[in-house]
Amino acid sequence: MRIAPRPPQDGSILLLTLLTSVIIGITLAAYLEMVNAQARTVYRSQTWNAGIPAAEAGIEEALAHLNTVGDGTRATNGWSLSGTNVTLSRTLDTQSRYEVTISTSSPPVVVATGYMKAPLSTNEIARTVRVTTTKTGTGFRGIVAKGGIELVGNISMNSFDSTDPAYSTNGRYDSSKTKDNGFVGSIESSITGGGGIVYGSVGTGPRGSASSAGTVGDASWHAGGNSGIQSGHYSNDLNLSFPDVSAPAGPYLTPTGGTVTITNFDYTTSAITTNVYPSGFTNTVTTNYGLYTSSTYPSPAPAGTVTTNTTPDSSTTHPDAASPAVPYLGAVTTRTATEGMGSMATTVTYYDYNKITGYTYETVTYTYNATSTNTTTTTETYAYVLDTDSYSLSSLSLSGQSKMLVRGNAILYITGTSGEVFSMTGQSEIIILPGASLTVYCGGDAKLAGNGVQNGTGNALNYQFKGLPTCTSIQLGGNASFTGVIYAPSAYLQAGGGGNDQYDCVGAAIVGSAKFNGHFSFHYDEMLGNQGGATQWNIASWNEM
Amino acid sequence: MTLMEVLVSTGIGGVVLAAVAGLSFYTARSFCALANYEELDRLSRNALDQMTYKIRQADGMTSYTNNTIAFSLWGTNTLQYVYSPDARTLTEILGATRTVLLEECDSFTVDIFARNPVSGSFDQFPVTNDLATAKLIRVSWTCSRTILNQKVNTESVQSAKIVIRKQ
Repeated sequence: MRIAPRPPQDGSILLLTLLTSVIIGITLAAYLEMVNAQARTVYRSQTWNAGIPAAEAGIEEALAHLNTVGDGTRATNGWSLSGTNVTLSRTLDTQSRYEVTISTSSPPVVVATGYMKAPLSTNEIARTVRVTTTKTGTGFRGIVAKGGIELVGNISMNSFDSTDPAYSTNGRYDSSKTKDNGFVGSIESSITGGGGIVYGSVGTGPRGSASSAGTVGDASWHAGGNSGIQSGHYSNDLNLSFPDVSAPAGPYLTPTGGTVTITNFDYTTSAITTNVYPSGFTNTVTTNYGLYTSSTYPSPAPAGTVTTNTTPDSSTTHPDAASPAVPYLGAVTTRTATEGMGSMATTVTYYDYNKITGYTYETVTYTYNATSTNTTTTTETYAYVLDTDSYSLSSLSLSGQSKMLVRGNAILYITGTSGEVFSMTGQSEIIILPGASLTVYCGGDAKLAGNGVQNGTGNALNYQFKGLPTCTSIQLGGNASFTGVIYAPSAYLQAGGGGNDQYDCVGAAIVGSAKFNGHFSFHYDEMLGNQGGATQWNIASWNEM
Repeated sequence: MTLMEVLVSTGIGGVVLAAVAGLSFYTARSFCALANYEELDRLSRNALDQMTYKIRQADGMTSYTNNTIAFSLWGTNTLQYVYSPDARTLTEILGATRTVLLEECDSFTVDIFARNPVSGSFDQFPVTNDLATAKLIRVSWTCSRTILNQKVNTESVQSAKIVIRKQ
């Protein structure tokens, strides 16, 4: 076979074609590499940013753990002790995970590291966040239950503010000074029953409902005769954590009874007006100015001008010669006049003068309120007398006329855990004197009837009922009045007035679940919103390491 | 080779060369634009990561003008972001350290929002001018370069919302 020789131009064309192809190929490769690098850096940036949500998921779990275990050991529920920390690792998905440590100190420090799979690599990208914590109280918010709340009958809920005289009288609930910030909330369930008359709002968790709560809204909503829930007065994002109650620290005394004489002070306030400025008086003194007229010259002489009031008068007797002498101002003019005619005519002498009728002058008086104290004493025998100390009983049953007197800041721990360990029936009472307080830790069920707790302080925080996890039932009823707060996260609270009896409760409650029946009025003291309730750990500072 | 053949081959060659030249020109221009886009995007992304990292953990916002925002950071430090329209730069000033985050920056805007006041709703932040209640900061900017005196933007706008964790 004969191969014909190619002309030399053909080689140049081939070379040029190859060179062009190489240039185009390199260009395309550079394009692709640049796009690839761009995609990798974008992906890496996204991964780096996604590390923060992963780390914060760890912080969320750490805070939930802290608020669940309360003051108990933190090395539980999958958290393991490592030196002075407890740690937990959790894989979120194939691309992300986090590791969290909580210091065992108080307040705890949480360090969370979020790990994300690096793009096109087996390495991980880590971001670490350190938060310090602080313990804050959620405060009490009307009636809040972990579970469901039934409002059957006529269950009224409103609010007042014991710290504001405009919305309370002497710090106590006054039906003429109410507010409309009451609250009924169910965290994990719903509000049902249809009998609620809530001057305020209701709330549930995301899975709950309050459509059968009753009539809920502000004062104008109720005044307008509306029904149902006013717009903006229901939310489904209620999310609170209620740690269990732990037993109070001992040692404990066993309470005993005795006869006690109580001095009662009745204070009566009255307004007093005087023309002498009260000395040594710190209350408000009102100065009154006015004109005063008297028939005699004021003595002592007032500071201002004294005006003499006169009227022209005429007499045949000189005013000085009259008996008694007639007071006059200025000169006495003697005047003669002929009276009668002919031989009967006589000359009569008259004295004309300005007779003084009185004196007018400016007066200054002072008005102030003075309080008088009326002291009485009563002597009575009490089944238990509590002072400032910690006491314990296996159970407490007050019946008949039995009374408990609290005259200090007392803690009472009822240690029994089985059945009804705290019972008040008949005419029994717990009397908390002004300046005193009582905190009851109840290990079992409670029935509070009788005459209830006479919280003489008027401050709901001065009577606190705390139910331990074994306290599963609380009954409020009878003639009992209640001014206090209930914190019993595991208890089923049943409350209501029988027949036409109106049962009034002042304060706030946090319970496991609740049923209110009959005629029941709950008056939430807004002062409690800033105090007490469930204390929980919250973030104090947030820093990326 | 006849004159006709020379003329035809020259014509065809010219058309081919013109096509190659045009292709090369637009390819180079496109390549340059793409490279610019990639670089500006990378710089913007880096600036955004730097800003989010620091603003997120700021103690709070301390001042706000059209071209400057300032925060208190880590207790005693002052963190500032200063936009210079003349120099077309965005500079981060942390204490005595100045870092130019963005160059060739045509615009820079900041919006301040307060905490979400509506329960049960998400991503609802009311606009505020009160620094004490500033919870969310939205920053936006535009960068551009020119190729053969024609302005080519990186993208229309780079924007991010940053939540101050400590507020």
